[in-house]
Amino acid sequence: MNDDELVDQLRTTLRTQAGRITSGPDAWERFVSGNVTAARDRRRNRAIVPMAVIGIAAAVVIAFVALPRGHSRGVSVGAQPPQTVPESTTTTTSVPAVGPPGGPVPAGFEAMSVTFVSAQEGWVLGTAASSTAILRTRDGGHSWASIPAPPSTTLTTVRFADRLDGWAYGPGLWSTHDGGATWHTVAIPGAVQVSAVEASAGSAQAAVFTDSAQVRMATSPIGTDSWAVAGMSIPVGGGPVPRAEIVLSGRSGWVVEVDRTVVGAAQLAGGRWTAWLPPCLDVQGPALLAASSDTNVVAACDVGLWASYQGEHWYQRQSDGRFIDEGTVPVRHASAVATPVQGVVLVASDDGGIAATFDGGHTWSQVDPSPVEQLGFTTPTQGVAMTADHRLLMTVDGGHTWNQVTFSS
Amino acid sequence: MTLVGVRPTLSFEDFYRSQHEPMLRLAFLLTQSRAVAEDLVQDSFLRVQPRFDALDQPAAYLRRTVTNACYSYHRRRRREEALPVEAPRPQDNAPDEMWDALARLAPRRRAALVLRYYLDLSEAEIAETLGCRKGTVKSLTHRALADLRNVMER
Repeated sequence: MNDDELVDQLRTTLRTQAGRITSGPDAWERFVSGNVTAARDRRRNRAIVPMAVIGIAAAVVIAFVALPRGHSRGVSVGAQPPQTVPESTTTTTSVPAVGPPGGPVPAGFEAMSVTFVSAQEGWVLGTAASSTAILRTRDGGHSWASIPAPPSTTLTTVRFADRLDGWAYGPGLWSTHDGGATWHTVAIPGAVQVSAVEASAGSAQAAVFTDSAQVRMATSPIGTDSWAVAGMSIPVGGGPVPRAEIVLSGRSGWVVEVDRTVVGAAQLAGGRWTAWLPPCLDVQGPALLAASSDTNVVAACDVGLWASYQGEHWYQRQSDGRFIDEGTVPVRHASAVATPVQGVVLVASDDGGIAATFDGGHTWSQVDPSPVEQLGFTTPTQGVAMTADHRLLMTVDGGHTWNQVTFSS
Repeated sequence: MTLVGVRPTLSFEDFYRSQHEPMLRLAFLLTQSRAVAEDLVQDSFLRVQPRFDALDQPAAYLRRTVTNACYSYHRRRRREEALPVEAPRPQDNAPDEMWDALARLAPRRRAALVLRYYLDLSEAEIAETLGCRKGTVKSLTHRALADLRNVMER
């Protein structure tokens, strides 16, 4: 069969199969009657279309878990042949046991999100046998144990603020305050979907989408589920894949709402979220943020992606709050950016690997060729990345080298 | 008179009635399940409804929403390229080797084929729908056809 014949047969099959499907004369009536409520309930409860995940291609975005000490990160899916972090890169240090006892890593576990609260302690949320599963490591990713997970099949992201307090979301929100032994559903007033949750300086921050197509910020002390919604709101853009990215550092924070292009933003200062003029509001492309302190904040923007493309640029926040264009980076269409310390910036894409500068942008080099979707640092030296082909990578030398991690007990 | 840049007035009901069946068919081709397609399309309309009046191109927006919903569905179900998918085939339907082969493609590659060869979208439109670059559409389509051929020739 040549190419033309293959395509002809494909077209015929598609038309034939599609022709079997008809709407039915009462489709609209069903929509406006009981099915509306039913579908909305399904959406809320089962998260068939998590807003922040819809845009696969549009880059599953990562937001930093800025922990009390600084920063941290989340990651995505993967079932890979067993490999280990090379011995030379690791110093196995276990931490005292807190939280539930762990079981073996379930067969077929596929990771979706990872978060670390220290170089040793981290959690990975994923699926096994079509159920949500969570793994915990206490030795920097050398060994993993299964702990209880919320009984929801739609969760996509896990975050922990410390060894006891964590959240799993997508699009609903669950919390634990005993290290993952038990999980509870959490309701944030007015929230339809949770887009991002991060924690820092004793508080958890959530960006939620509301019924009125707005992004609202909500705050809770990390040890409780007492969420208070801020008065300000951020508009949701007209594109198909709205996402809100939260970056926290200490008591400072930033959230940017992107829907193809930068739509709006807010900043956290003095415990309050207020409107903020974000970087790249006028570049006709999306922006990604990262921070290692309240003074070291960077952005990576796909300049002109929805107009006349000018490449991926990175921006450094100045003391007066303005972001200065520091020039292009050697990747296109970044999926994640990280800055573990001032002067070190890593920009990743799903087809260009991880590019890094360790001298404030004077020189750039590719530090890993993997197609990376998510990237972040827990400490100035330890960071993780999730690749588009579902491998978890870890660096313990500040991003110079990356090694694959496996999930073995 | 239609003002440039302003779409003609269209009620959401009219929009729903005109788009429901095409979207149902698209979702069915992407998920190969009538029930799942119904669910995802319903949710997609619910998503579009609140912002309908503000959309310049609601049909394109809806198409992206449905396509992404189907992809998310597959992602959650872990029916990725490494995992063979069993395509449900109605009892009254004759075996269709191509249909079965499509079920074994990675969701994103399958979507590229459906958008290209069922909806006859341009590469630019597919790129916009999938949220990727035109170059990615080319490689997706190329690889999808290669996958299809490999599955068919097994």
